[in-house]
Amino acid sequence: MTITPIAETKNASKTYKSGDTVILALKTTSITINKGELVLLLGPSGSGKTTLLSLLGCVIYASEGEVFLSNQSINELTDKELCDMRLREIGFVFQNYNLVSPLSALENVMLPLQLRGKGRGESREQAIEALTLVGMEDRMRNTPRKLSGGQQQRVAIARALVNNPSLILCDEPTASLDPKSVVYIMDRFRKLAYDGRTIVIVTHDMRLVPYADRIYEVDNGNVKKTDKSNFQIN
Amino acid sequence: MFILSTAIRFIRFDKAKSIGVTIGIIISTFLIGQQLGILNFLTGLMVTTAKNSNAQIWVIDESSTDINQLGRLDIRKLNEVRSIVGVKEAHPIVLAGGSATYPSGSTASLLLIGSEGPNFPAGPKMENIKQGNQADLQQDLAISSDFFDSETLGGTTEPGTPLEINGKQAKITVQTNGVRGFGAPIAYTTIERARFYGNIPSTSINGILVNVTNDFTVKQVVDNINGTLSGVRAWPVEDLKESTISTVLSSSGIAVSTGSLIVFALISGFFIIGLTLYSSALDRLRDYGTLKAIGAKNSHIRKLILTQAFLFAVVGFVIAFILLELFRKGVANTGLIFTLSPLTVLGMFAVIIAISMGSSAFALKRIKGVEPASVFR
Repeated sequence: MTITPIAETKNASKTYKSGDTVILALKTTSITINKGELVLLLGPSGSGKTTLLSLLGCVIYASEGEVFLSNQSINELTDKELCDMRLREIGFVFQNYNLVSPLSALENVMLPLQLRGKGRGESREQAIEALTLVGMEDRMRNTPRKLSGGQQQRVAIARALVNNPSLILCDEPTASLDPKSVVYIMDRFRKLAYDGRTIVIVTHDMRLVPYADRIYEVDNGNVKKTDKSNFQIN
Repeated sequence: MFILSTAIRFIRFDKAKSIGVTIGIIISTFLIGQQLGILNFLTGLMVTTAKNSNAQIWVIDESSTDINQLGRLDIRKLNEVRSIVGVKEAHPIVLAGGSATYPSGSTASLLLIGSEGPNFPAGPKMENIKQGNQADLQQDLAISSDFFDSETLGGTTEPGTPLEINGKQAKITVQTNGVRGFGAPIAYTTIERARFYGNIPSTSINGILVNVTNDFTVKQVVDNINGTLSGVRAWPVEDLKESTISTVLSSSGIAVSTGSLIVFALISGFFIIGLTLYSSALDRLRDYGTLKAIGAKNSHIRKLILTQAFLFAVVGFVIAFILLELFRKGVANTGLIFTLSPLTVLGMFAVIIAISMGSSAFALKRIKGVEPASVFR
């Protein structure tokens, strides 16, 4: 089986300035994420894992070093091109689901397609397909406030998948979910990875470890590859 | 299409704020329309005398720029005007102030407008007569009075009502409809009677009403009169109306008062709409951040906000326009008659669109500053 890198950081670091203070959120990091992998970024709050996710997700530029997505250096891209890159190549799943509140589940899933300029009919068809994949086809007319946390997260996953992105980035996707929903969501992610999707999950939830192909531990801005066997799962 | 449907969803979702913005637009539009309507009414009153005459040209003393403040001319000027090439007909007009006393004991000022019967070139026009006809003004002691001046003029302006003008007997024989003066109620009568009530010598007139022959233009005749006669100035009637309005507005403070109210309506509208949109945007920051994170460009967000502002403006304007029409019809019954021309309405719509979309700049600025990365915090 060929190994195809989807996302890479090469000596990438990120600093933030707050007044005269410079905060090093992510120290020099080089990692490669390959197609079809489910990768966990584990670490405590404030360790820098979300900064790494933001770099991979093209929502921030690296202060130093380079980030590549589908072999394209994002350092060279303008804000506009970065938007296009996110729209085309990345699906996001957020901790608080971040569904657009005024829109129905279906309209939320249609959003990435319509932002890409696809017509209403085509978008609707693909969105229904994506919602069916996560078992939410019966609730597609509901607005987020009428959905439970687990259901919202499933809609968020459908939205992340609908554009058929090369990379799905998840920020604490199970943090607000009950155990049953965690199993459902992670089974879906695992299956998606088997189907060739690349998934990166930021979490401190040890229950996700068994699902991972690879794990990186992030602590105090340092990123370190770790073996699954280092974690004892109850 | 997708932006439009999303904008509608956003508007419907945040009902309280949407109602707030719409009410801001309704108040602004209504106040602007009301002030413009009242200004239209007042400027109409300023030029009632000109509007109700049949003349194409008014010849008045050279120092006057306001039809309500005409100086006196020597009657001999009438023949001089008649001798000018291009003049088809020229009629004298006398304006006289009078104090009227009614049977009820109430008194009021009147502006008497006298011209020659049976055609009465200074007015009233037949279409403005509610009761009686022009011929009735030729009866003894006859004057006209307006239906809407009843309250001011002792309770009734019905034909047959007797009164005294400057202590001399008079009688209302014609009731006009909506022919109202700017400073005082207007009473049409014959030229002799206007002189009689106003104590104006028979050698004096206040103006000459001129119509031109078919082979001359109004401008040619005006130039002929102004180039030939001294001490008078000929005005095309529309120019005299404009001059009157501009003279009265600049000397009375009406323009400043109306203008400042319109400006305040605009400013308050701008801030009510702007701050409510801003507040609504603050409530939706997470949604806008999410849109940016998943790949929406600033141009998408800008279109979404501006579309909402445009929709608010359209809905608010339509409601305000309906209210304005109701107001217009309601006050017309009291004699406050005004019209808003299609151009004025279009102008108001453009202004409301501009303030609504302009005030969304607060929200746009705030949302532009939202980093896509903020959704991870």
